[in-house]
Amino acid sequence: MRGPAGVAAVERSARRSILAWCLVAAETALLFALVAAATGATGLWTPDIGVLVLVALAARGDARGLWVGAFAVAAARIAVGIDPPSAVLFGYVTAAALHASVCAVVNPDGPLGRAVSAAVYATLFAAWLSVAHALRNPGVLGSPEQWISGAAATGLATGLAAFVLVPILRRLPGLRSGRAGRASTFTGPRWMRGVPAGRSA
Amino acid sequence: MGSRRTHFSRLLLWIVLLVLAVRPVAVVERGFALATSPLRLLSELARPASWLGGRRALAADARFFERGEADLAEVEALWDDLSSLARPDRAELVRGRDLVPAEVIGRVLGDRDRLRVRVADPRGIERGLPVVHGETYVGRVVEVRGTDVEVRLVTSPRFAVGARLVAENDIWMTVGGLADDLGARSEPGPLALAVRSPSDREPPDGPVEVFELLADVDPRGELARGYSLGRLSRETGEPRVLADVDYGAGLYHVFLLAPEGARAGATDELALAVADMDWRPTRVLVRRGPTAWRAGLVVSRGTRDGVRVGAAVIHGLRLVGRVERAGLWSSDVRCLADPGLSVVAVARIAGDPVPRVLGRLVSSGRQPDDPSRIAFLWKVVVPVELPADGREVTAELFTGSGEPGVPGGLYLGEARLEMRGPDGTPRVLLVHEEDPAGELWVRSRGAMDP
Repeated sequence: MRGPAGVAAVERSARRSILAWCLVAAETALLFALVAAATGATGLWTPDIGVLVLVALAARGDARGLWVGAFAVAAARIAVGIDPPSAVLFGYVTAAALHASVCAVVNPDGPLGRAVSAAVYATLFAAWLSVAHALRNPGVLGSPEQWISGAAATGLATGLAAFVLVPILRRLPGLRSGRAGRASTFTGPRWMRGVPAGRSA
Repeated sequence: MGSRRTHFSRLLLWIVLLVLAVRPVAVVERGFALATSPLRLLSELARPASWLGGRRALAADARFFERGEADLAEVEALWDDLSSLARPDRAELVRGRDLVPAEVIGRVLGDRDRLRVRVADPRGIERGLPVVHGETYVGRVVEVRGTDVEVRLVTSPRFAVGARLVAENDIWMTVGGLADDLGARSEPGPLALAVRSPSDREPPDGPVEVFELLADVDPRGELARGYSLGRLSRETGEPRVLADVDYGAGLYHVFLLAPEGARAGATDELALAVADMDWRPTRVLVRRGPTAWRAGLVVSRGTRDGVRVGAAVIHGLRLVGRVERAGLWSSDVRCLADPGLSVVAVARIAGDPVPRVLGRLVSSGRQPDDPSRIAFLWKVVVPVELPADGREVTAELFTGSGEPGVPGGLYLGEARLEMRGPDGTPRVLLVHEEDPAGELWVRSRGAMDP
């Protein structure tokens, strides 16, 4: 049983958490718009900020945090783009689920791990948006080779950007405080959990 | 148990999102648009980024819409020419009838075979009046609501009109509905109207005209006598009538046939839709979205301002794009360069006084080798007569009418028409650099709702 003080603390924590997620969504929306405006000329070589934020979140949040983070990132992208909301939500929720599964097996939180995972999710996400658009508008989008090369370019740009941007994104307000700022539970493979620090199985 | 329930609900949500992403449901899409309306706040936050992306309009386009009233005069002239094209001129088809000009403004929701047209003055307009386009009979009036009139097209499965073969006066039939399932059509080409109860089971090919034998069935059918329905063909076995107008995207102006003298004192002067008051100024919140190959804007008007899906967004008299999703306070706009955006279009070909109805154009995006041009798939339903050898001509393109929210006469740009594109199909290459900076206007409800 919680006393009045306990209830107030939970409410305060919940308010902080909501504020933190609102901040994440707002920052992500602004970053999406800035990156799109700044890299207009580079076309497909535009990193996917949403995936980078998810990867940054994964290193600092719990599993539920990653799930909520997917919604916050999707909301940001829906606000600044014209892609179908359902397709964007599906894409980021899938990326978050994939990342949670990967984290259950390996720890991808090194620079290379972050870059590779960001590149893979961004490629899959870009390809998914092309497929969803082609299914909604039959016959107007180029060949599958074009989609794949476009998605790969986005993935590569995102992977490279992950080296620089993920450490910065992790320090942004909202990503480091409240629920979004909890210590990571993705500390390695499940079979390693419970093993004292410094020792391997 | 709780964890299992959470996993199950996440899986369910995931499946629902997947299905909705690839098979959009209009009601759910509207729900999504409303649910995401509060994200307008995020769009406002991102607005400063749009100042980085502003570009100047292409000089040729700027020339066009900076001329002010001269543009309007040009659109009026185009509209007059298109109206003239839709006007029957053979003396025997005009005699004894009042011709009432009407502009097509859309379709009845959920029924492609019912046109909404607007007349200047409803006096003398009543149910059953025939509707024609040039010398072709296209349907009859089924409802009159002030100046808004609903027309059931001859393509409707519930339509029937008496007809005869022009060359064989003793072969009668009933024509109405489509001979083929539209979804089963593999190649573009003229629509085939169904022929029922022909008096000869193997009629010869030839032109078919309206000839209503039973005045009780269609009391106003007499007014349409002699108007063409198309050409009878038995190429595929069963007799069918190949239509000579594009019922899907080629009807911008039609004429209603009223009995002579029934409209005494009525005016036929139609106001130009592009110059009416159903436009709202709007700000661009986001100029360039995160998906590089898409071309879209987020603008600051939504359903609270009367904006609906499909509404035109313009700069001057130039079409910038159409609303894809309308939230309460903001809307997503697909620009001309966005793959999949479709418009119906009219071409003014250089040196040719007659405007050409092109029908529906579907954008396939900017050309990879020349980003200043947007390629459009050109769905030719009724062959267009092009001057010269007809392979490649230059023209100025304007929107046609008949789509809710997009009035006819909006400027699209200079274009090259190619009857044979790289893949052998017709296409249109529109010269179009960046979308214009400056004040945009969006079409609001008055012009869109029935």
